[in-house]
Amino acid sequence: MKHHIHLSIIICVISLNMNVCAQDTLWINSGEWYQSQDTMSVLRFNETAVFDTSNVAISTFADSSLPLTIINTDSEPHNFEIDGFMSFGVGILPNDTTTFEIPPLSMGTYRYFSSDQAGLYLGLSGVLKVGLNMPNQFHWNLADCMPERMDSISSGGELLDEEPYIPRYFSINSFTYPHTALDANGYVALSLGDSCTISIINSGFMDHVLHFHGFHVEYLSTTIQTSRIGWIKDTIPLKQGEGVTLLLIANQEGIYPVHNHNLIAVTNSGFYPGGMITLINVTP
Amino acid sequence: MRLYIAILFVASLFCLNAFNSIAQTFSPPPLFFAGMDGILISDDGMDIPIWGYGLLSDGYITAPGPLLEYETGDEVNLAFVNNSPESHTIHLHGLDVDQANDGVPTTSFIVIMDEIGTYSFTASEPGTFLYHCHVTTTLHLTMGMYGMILVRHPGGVLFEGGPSYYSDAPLLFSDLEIATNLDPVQSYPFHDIRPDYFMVNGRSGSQLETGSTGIPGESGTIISCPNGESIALRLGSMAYTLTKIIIPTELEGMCYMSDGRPVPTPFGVEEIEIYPGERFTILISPEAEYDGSIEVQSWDMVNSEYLHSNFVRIRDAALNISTPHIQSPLSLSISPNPSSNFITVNTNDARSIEDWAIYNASGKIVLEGQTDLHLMRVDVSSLESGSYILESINGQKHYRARFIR
Repeated sequence: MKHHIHLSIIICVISLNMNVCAQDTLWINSGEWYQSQDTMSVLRFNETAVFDTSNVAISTFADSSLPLTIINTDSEPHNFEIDGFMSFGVGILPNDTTTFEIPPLSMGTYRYFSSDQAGLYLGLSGVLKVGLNMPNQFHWNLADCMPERMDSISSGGELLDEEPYIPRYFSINSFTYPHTALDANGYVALSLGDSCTISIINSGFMDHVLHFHGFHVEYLSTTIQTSRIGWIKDTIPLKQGEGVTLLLIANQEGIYPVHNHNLIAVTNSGFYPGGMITLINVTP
Repeated sequence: MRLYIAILFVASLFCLNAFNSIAQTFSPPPLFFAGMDGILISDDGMDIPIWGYGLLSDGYITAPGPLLEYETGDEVNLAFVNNSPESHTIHLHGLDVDQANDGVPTTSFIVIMDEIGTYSFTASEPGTFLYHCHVTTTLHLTMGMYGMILVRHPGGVLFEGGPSYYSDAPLLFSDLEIATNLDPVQSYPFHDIRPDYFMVNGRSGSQLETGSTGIPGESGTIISCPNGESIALRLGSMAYTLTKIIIPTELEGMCYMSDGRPVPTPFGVEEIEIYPGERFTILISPEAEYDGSIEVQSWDMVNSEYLHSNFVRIRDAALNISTPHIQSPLSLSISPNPSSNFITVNTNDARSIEDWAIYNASGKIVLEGQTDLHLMRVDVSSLESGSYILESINGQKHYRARFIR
C-alpha cells in the first residue's frame, strides 16, 4: 500500500511537471513574459484560469475526434486552428466559452493556434500530440519574437510591416537557454537504453533547424515535409507551422546539446549562449 | 536555490573554463592547427580576415578548413594544436561521438593557446559530415572555423548495398558578414548577424572557376567525370542562410543520403533545400559533352528573401578541361627559391610591385614595404627558416608567390 502511494505521488508530480493536458478544456489567458531586460505582454493556452508562461500541450488518440471547450479570459476575441487540418473561424469572444470538436487526425504532432493578429504575435500556439503512446514523451514549441512588435500589438497598435523583422528572443516552450534546463517537457532526461518521442512544432515567424549532438533521430511524422518520414537524421529543419514527431533512442550516456544551427537563434537579445538550446541527459 | 544552481550548471556548459580543460596530449602528433590570422580574398579583391583550421604542412589556415577523409570503421585520433590566443575546439558534427569528444566547452574540453587536443572516435557510418569550433559558436563559426568530413565506404559504393560511383565532389556552402569578420571584437549583438558574402568551398562568383582565394596554387571548382560515370555531390551547409541547390534535369540528380544515413527511398532531385548543418549526398550523371552549372542560391532565414547565387560548373571530362588559372596580367617570380639572405622579386613585365608584404606560416606579416619598381631585392636575413608568402597589391589586385627561407 505504501509503495502504491509513493507511486501515485510520483505520477502526480510527473503529470504536473509535464504540462500536458488530456482534459477537454483550455483557457486563453493573458500575462507577462520576462526575458533579460524585456517584459512582454503575451497570450497563452493554459489548462486552468491561472496564467502560465508555456502553452499547454494537448494529447489525444489517433483517428478519433476530441471535444474541446475553450474559455477566453482575454479582453479580445480569438479563434482556434490546426495548421492545414481545421479552422474554427468563429471568434471566441472575451469572457465567452465555446465548445467544438477537433476532427480525427492520424498519428503525429500538430500545431494548434489562434490565427488572429494578437494570437499570432503574442504566442497563442501549442503542441497537439495525436496517438503517441511511448512512456517517455517530450515536446518543444519553438518560437521567435521581436519585443517591439509585441509591444505594438499588445497596446492595440498596428503591425509596422515596413520595419524589418529582427527577432531578439528564441524559445523552446517559452524557455530560453539556460532556463530550458528547468523545463521538464523540453529537457530530455533518459536512462541508457530508453526511447522517447519528441514532438516539435514551429510557432515562429521563420523556419528553424535543430541539430542533435550525440544522436541521430528518426522522423515518425511531419505535417509538411512528409517525404522525410522514416529518415534518420541529426539536423531537423522545421518550417513555419510544421509539426514533427521524432524517435530518439538513448544509446550512449552523457550530456549532449540540441540547438538551433541558425546561430542567430542561440542568443538572448544578442548574447551567446541563449535561445534555442536544450539538453539530452542520458544516465546509466 | 536548487533552481539557481541548476541554471548555473547548465550555463557553464557553454562557457569557457580553462581550469576544466582536459585536453589529451601528444598522441598522435597533430597534423592540424587552428589560427586566427588568416586572410580570405573576396571575389572583388577585398582582404577579409578569417579564423580557421589548416594543415601544419601547409602553414596557413583556410575557410573552410582542410577536407578530412576517412573510411568506414576507421578508428580516428584527430589532433590539433592551437596556434592562436583564444581557446578552440572541434565539434564533429553528425558523427555521434561520445560526450568527451563532442567539442562542446566544459562537457568536453577546450584547447587553449599552444596546447594540443586530440579527438578520438570511430567513423562508424559512411557519409558526409562537418566539423567546426564550438567555442562562442556564433562568432568562431562565422569567422571561418569549419570544414567537411567525408567517410567513404570501401568498394567504391556510397554505403553497404548502395550505388557505386566514380568520384566525390565535396561542396561546402557557407557565408559571412563582412563587417563582423573585419571587426570581430565589435561583433555583438549576435542575433543580428546577416551574411553578405556567400561561398562554395570558400570561393564566390568568378573564383569558382578561376581560383584566387589566396590559397597558393589552388585551382577553381569545375567538376568533371567520364561519360557514363556518376559523381557523388557531397553537399553540406555551415551557412547562416538557407541554401537552395538547382540541379539541371540533364544531370539526373538522385539523392541517396542525408546526414550520414541512407534515405529509405532514393529520390530524383532538381531542387533541394539545405538548412544550416544539414548534409545531402546526390549522385549526378553528366551526359557526353555536357557543359552546364549547378546553381547555389542563398536565402535569408529570417525574412525568406533571395540573396545571392553562385554557380558550380559541371563538364564532361571528354571536353578536355585545362586547369583553370587566375586571370593575372601580373605574375610574380621569386629567386633564388629556396633563398638565403636576399630574394629578388620580379613582376616579369613593366608593371610595378607597389605595396607588398611577406606573411609567415601563421599568416602574420613579418616584412612589408612599397616600391614603384617592377624588380626589387629584399633582405630576408631576419626571417627564421620556413615557408613564406610574398603578396603584392597592385590596385585592387592581389598576387602571391611562395618561397622558402
